[in-house]
Amino acid sequence: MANRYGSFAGGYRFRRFAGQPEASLAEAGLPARTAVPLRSRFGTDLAPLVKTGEKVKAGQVIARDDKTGASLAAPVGGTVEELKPAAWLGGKTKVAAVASDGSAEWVPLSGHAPDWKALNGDTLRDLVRRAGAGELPAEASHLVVQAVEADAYSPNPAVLLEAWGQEAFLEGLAILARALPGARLHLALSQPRRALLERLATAARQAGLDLEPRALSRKYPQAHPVALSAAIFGKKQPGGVLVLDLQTVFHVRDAVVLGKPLIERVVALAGPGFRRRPHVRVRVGTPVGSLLEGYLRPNRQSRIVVNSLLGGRAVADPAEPVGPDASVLIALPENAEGGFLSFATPGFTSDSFALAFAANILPLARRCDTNLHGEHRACISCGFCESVCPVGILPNILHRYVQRNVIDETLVRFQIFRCIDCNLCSYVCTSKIPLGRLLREGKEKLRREGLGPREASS
Amino acid sequence: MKLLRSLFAALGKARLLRPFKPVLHTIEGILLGNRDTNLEAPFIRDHIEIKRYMSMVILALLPAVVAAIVFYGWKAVAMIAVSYVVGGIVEVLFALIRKKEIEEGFLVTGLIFPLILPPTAPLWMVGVGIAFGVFFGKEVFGGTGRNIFNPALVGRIFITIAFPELMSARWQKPFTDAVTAATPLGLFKSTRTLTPLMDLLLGQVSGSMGEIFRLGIIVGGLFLILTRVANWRVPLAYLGSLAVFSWVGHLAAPQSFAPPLFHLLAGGLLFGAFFMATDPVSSPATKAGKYVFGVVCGIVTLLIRTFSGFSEGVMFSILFMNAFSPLIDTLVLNAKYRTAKV
Repeated sequence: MANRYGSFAGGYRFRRFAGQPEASLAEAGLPARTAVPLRSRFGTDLAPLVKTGEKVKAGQVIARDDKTGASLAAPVGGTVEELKPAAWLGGKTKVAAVASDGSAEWVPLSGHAPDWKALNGDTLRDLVRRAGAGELPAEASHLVVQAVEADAYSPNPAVLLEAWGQEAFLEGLAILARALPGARLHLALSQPRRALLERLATAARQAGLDLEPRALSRKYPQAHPVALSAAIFGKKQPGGVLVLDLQTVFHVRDAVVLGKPLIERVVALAGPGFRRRPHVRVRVGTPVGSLLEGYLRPNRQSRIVVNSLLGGRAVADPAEPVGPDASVLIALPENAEGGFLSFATPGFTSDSFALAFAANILPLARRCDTNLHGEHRACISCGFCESVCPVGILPNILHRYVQRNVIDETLVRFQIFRCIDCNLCSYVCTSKIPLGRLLREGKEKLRREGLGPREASS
Repeated sequence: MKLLRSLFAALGKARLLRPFKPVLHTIEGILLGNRDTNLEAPFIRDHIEIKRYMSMVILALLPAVVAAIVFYGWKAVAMIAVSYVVGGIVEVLFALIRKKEIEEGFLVTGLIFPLILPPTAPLWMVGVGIAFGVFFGKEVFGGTGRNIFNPALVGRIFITIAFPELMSARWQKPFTDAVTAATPLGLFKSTRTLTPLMDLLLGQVSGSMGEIFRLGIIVGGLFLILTRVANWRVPLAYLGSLAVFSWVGHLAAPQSFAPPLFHLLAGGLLFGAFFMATDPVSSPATKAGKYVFGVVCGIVTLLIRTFSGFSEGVMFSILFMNAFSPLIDTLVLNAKYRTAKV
């Protein structure tokens, strides 16, 4: 059973995309200026605690929501130069521009403790919250730490482990185990990382942690909580599963042990638009434009996409900052040209679910760009979307209802709310129908009509 | 490339050519591809497109086409040409009237149609049939993707009914000029003689132009399935059910039922199962529906071949089941989501 690994039905494996991130770590250094949207993880606006011209230290809380306690730290020490809405954020939420004074130091969080074993769960949770590293629940039955490489481009977990060190990983894990007593610990990596997985599980066992190693498929969207649960727990899904990505474990550890707020991320650079693609340690708030300057290919126009080509978002303005949730920045070449007789070319580097290209039998890296690669047509029921759907619904049937604006219980009965917005249906569609968007529209309209699932409507 | 772009840009502006915009746009699309980019997630798209999808079907049909040309020479070429030209005119006229794109599905219909005709069919009949098939089989429903029936089969059934003597009594063996009256299925029906399987496989029998070189059809069909363009469920269910039921029938009443291997290789079954029953538009969209569709197709084919006045039943069974496809899908969906409560 050496080759058994967890998986889920459906999904699609993005093979050999050109421009994978390199297994190296670079330091971006301190940015001259950072931009910090005064907004919580949940999209609520935070009230500023500083004024324009005021001097701040890195790690100092500069905005807070008194109701929820959500707070935001300055990512660099220096001067608050501006405090006003930015066009790239819709022009409503305020953005603090903090100019760096060149000092890399930061103010530690109060109450942090290198001997954290004396702290109780609530104190740990509070530290993590104040660090901006996330919201830990009071209890969970399972904690899944994941660094699955299932997207076209994913960060390399080995590089993250090297950046912080294995000890930091084990420490972070131990802190989480203490904050979530009774939770079973799982570590989910992709199947080719089996050796690393075993090494970490053994090290965890020696440190007294019962860590379940989970080698999972590389099919997209394996990193999504629904696909993770399906692969790890099978049909009997337990409640109370908490999924954290690997880097969050390090942030938790840094917050509790060092008192370091989330002011730094390791971000992988990927995609054909880059000349060099290391993982970069970068201060949160660094403008994407200035971060990528030295890395982008000079003669090629690329679109920068954050975190996922299928489910991520595009950076519209180079002034947009690296967010606290950024893990990959992808430089996707623009292609508004199509190609001469493109439908009839052998397709040596064309990625496709249909095995209709030479790339399917050749070991060449596949190219990617922003082109639609075809023209919009009516659905021909080829069934590709059904084959790849990770939650087993029928996008080809559902989209017809939404297109005709027939929004009623039928859609709910056909399980439209199981859709996890992975966008794979849109990706594989032969007729280039934006199925993912249509399904989102359908769900939204249903919710507005009060036909949403119970937890959403109450 | 740049030159072509500017040429099309100039043509697009010409007032005289305005009514022909769909045609221009189609030619531009074929030559230069689409310039649209993804403005929202997903930012990348699969390289498959309808043009490529249909091209794969045509590629898979090539063995049958080449065999038809080798067997029947210029007659086969002329029939395919007439089918493409007349069908193309109907398609283009409709695109101009509806001001919509010319759809690629016609490239497959226009090729399949002459292949399912007897090689003795006069050229005018090829034209009449394809025009009827494209018009009533596809355009009146709103084009590719919305049609209920397989357009090539609609054309075929029309001329079968309109010109029965030309369509059923005049068959021609490859490499001969002799017009015989019977296909292997007809021979079995009238005299209980079984044609040798090797002759069936290599096409040394009479039959429709593109259906007789069965080795090539099997290769082409498997190619389509391997590329995922054709779904494997329909041909598997279709051929499987026919094989099983004819085997049972042959055991019970060998005088009425031909043996399963003969059934599988005779007539238009392989061509129909691989290239027409698999038409995604007119067959059920659900997986379970595809099995049901294939199994019933097999049963109906066997019943017609064995008990009706017609010697062949592939065309009738596929068209018959096309009509039931929406119903099958509805039943499958109702069964699948019957217990689902949200």
